[in-house]
Amino acid sequence: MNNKDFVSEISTRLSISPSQCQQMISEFTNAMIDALEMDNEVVIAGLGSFEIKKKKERIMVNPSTGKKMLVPPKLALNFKMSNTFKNKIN
Amino acid sequence: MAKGKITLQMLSEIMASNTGRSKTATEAFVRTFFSSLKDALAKDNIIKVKGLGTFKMVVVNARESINVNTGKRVSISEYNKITFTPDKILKEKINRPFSQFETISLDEDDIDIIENTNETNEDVSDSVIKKDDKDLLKVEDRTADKKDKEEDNAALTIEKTEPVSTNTSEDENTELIVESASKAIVHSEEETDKANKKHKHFNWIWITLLFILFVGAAYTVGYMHIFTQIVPKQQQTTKTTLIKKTHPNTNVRSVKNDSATKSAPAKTSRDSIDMFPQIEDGKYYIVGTRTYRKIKPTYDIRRYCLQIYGSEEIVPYVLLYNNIDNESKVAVGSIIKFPKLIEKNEHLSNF
Repeated sequence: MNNKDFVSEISTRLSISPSQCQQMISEFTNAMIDALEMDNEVVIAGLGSFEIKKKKERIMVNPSTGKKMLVPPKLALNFKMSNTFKNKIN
Repeated sequence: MAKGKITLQMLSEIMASNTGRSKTATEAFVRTFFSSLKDALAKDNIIKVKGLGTFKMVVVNARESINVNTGKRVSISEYNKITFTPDKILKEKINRPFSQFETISLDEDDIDIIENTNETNEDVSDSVIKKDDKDLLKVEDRTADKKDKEEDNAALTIEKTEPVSTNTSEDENTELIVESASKAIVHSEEETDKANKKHKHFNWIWITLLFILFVGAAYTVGYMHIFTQIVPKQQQTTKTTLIKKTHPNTNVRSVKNDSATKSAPAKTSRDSIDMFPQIEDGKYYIVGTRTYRKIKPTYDIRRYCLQIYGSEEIVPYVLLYNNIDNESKVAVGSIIKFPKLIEKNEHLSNF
């Protein structure tokens, strides 16, 4: 399902325009980041949880050139399924 | 790291306060959003949400594993998993604290440069230019251009960028390594030998050299201090030593022997005793440091004394030498100096 279809589905459910809906999605994303940034995890019942994890720097090899590269440390967003959802899809 | 759990309601509250929308509206939106997501995931394998990311249903192959408790082999059956990869915009927003870093290419030589940080940008770029690597030379041109522009690109991964363009951040390079390398050494002569040596060995050679230098300097300073506190007898001996040294016909060996024999008593003279705190009625004089030990939960000063001197009677000397008032207040992890001692009887015989 692409973004257009997903957004149109939400907009029909809420009776708002798709552009309004897309706007709200980005607002929601910002709210999520605000919440996550203070070392929290966002738990959505029946789906899973989102968490920010710190990734250490590492040396990796570019498979095409064979050159060694140094990837710097970074923060990444991680999603973990909840058990109820796991059972639902299996 | 205590993690606070944020619920759907809290998210909608934050969204409401950020945007000024009513709580009911935001809560309705958030609920609908996730329920649509759940339904969509049941239908399709891939859901793409612009501004958030893609949710993908992935089949995890069955694999054999071991039951941790029993140690028996267990086979995990095939199952479905939802993976989430954040959108590019989201990734950048989340990585904002680390946004100044970029992926860089490494050569064997570069690893040495990276490990030995604290160099200025110029130093690094100079040393890089000196190499004959064409790629690096190309990058130097780009760096000159890019240094004026703002570095607002997020971390470039290898799949998305050319290898050459990623070496644009000498500035970030040094910053990055200062943060990540726990044992960085300051030195300016990294040009010398190391091309084929592994960077770890290279590091240790310089650490040892510097350490020897410092020890030598400290010893010299200590030795000079003895010379400045002149006692009449010692003055004569030092004068004669100097005269002998400057005499052109003197055999080098004999001069060395003279100064050696004359300096031996200097070491155990009144001067060296005055340099350190002493216990008046004690059996020993403190004449220097014998060794260092780090206090551990299982090793306190008493135990080390037994280990080093063979008895606990030296403990008061150690406390005095380290200026410790209260033995029980010595913190775990602190380095304690253990003094070199001479018996007072033995010393008196030298006079």
